[in-house]
Amino acid sequence: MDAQRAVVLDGARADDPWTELARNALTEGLQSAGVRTEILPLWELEIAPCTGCFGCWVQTPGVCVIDDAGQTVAEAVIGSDVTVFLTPVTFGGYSAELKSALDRMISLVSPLFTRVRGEIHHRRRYRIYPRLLALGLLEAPHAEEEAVFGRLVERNAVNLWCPGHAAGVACADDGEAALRATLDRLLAQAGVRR
Amino acid sequence: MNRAKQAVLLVGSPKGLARSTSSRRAAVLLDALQDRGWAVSKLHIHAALRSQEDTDVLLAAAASADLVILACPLYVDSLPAPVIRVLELLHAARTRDGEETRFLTLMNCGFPEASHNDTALAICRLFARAMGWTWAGGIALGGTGMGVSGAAWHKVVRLTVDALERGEAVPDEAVALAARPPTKIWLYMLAGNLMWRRQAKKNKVRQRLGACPYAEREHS
Repeated sequence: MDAQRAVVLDGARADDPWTELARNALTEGLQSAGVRTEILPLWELEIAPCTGCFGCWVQTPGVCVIDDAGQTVAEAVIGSDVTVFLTPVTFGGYSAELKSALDRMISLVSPLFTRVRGEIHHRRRYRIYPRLLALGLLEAPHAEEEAVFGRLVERNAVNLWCPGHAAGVACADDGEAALRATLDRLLAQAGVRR
Repeated sequence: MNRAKQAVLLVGSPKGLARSTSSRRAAVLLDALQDRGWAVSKLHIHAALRSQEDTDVLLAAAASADLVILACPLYVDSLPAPVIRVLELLHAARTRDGEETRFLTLMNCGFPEASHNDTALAICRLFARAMGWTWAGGIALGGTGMGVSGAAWHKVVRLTVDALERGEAVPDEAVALAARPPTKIWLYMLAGNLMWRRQAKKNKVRQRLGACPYAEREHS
C-alpha cells in the first residue's frame, strides 16, 4: 500500500519558540507515522486574494483564473490524503495567510447546489477529498476562541467534502506535553496514526 | 456643541464600493445614520491594503470612529482573507482599549440559509472583544439577500439605527427579518444551478462544468 500523503498549509508566520515547537512536533508526528509530508509556508508564497469572479467555476472549471501559487496549493490539497492547517487562532478563525490560500480553493468544488443534511452546499467536484486536520495555536487558553475554531474546521470539512476531520488548539501556557497529547489525538482522529 | 458621532463603513468585498451586494446593503444603513446626524464615511478594504498610506488611513478612521461597520461576503465559512488581515492590523495597532467604539457586522452569503454566516459573525464578535470594543451585533443575509425586499431591508435598517441611537445592539427582530431565506429554497437551487450552467455555456465550457483537472488519483 502506498504511503499516505499530507500537505501542511503552514499559516503560522511567527517564528516565536512556541510556533517553532508546534511546527516541528507536527512534522515529526506526521513523519513518524510514515506519512509523506509536504510543507507549504504560505507567507513565502504569492497568493493573491480571491476576487469572487467565479472564473474557476464558469471559465476554467476547476482551476482558478489567477495564475499564482494559489493554484499550486489547491492542487496539492486535492492530491493529498490529509490536508493539515497550521495557524494561530485569530479571533477564533485562521490567520490571513491560511485564509488567503483557503479562499482560492472553491475551485475544488462544483458551483452547483445540493443538500447536505438538509442544508444547501456546493456539490463535490472530485470523487475523493482529503481528510482535514487543523492545529490552532494560542498563547493562553480561550474557551470561546477554541470553540469557534472547532466549529469553523467542522464547517470547512462539510463544504470541502472531507471524509473526516480533526481540530485542536494547543496553548503555549499548557506546555509541550499538552501540545504532544493534542497532536496524538488529532493524528489518530484524522486517521494518520492508527 | 456636541461633535457628530462618527460611523465608518469598511467594505470587505473584492467587488468594491459600487458593485458589491455588501456595499449596497450597508449604504442604506449608512444613509440612515447620516439622516440622524451621524458623520459617515466608507472605505474599501481591498483597495486600502494596496498601499501602506491607504492602510494607515483605514486604521486611523476605524480607531477614531464611534461605530465601525464591517460589510462583507462570506468566504469559505469565514471572512475574506483581506478582511482578516485588516482585523489583525487593527488589533496590532489598538490604542484605545476599553473606550467606547462599537462594532457591527453585516455578512451575506450565496447559500439560502443565513445561518451559514454564524461562524464569521462569531469571529467578528471575538475580534470586538479582543479590541475592547462593544459588539453591536451581526446581521446575516442568506441567498445574497434575495429573500429580503427593499421595504424589509429598510425596516431592518430602521430597527438597527433606532437601537444604535439608544446605545443598544441590533435587535432580534431586525436579525430575524434580514435572515429570511428566499421563499422557495428548491426554486433558488434550481435557478442557481441554471444560472451557473448558462454562464458556463456562454463561456463555451458547459460540458466541462464538472471537470476534475487535478484528478491524478481519481482513476488510479
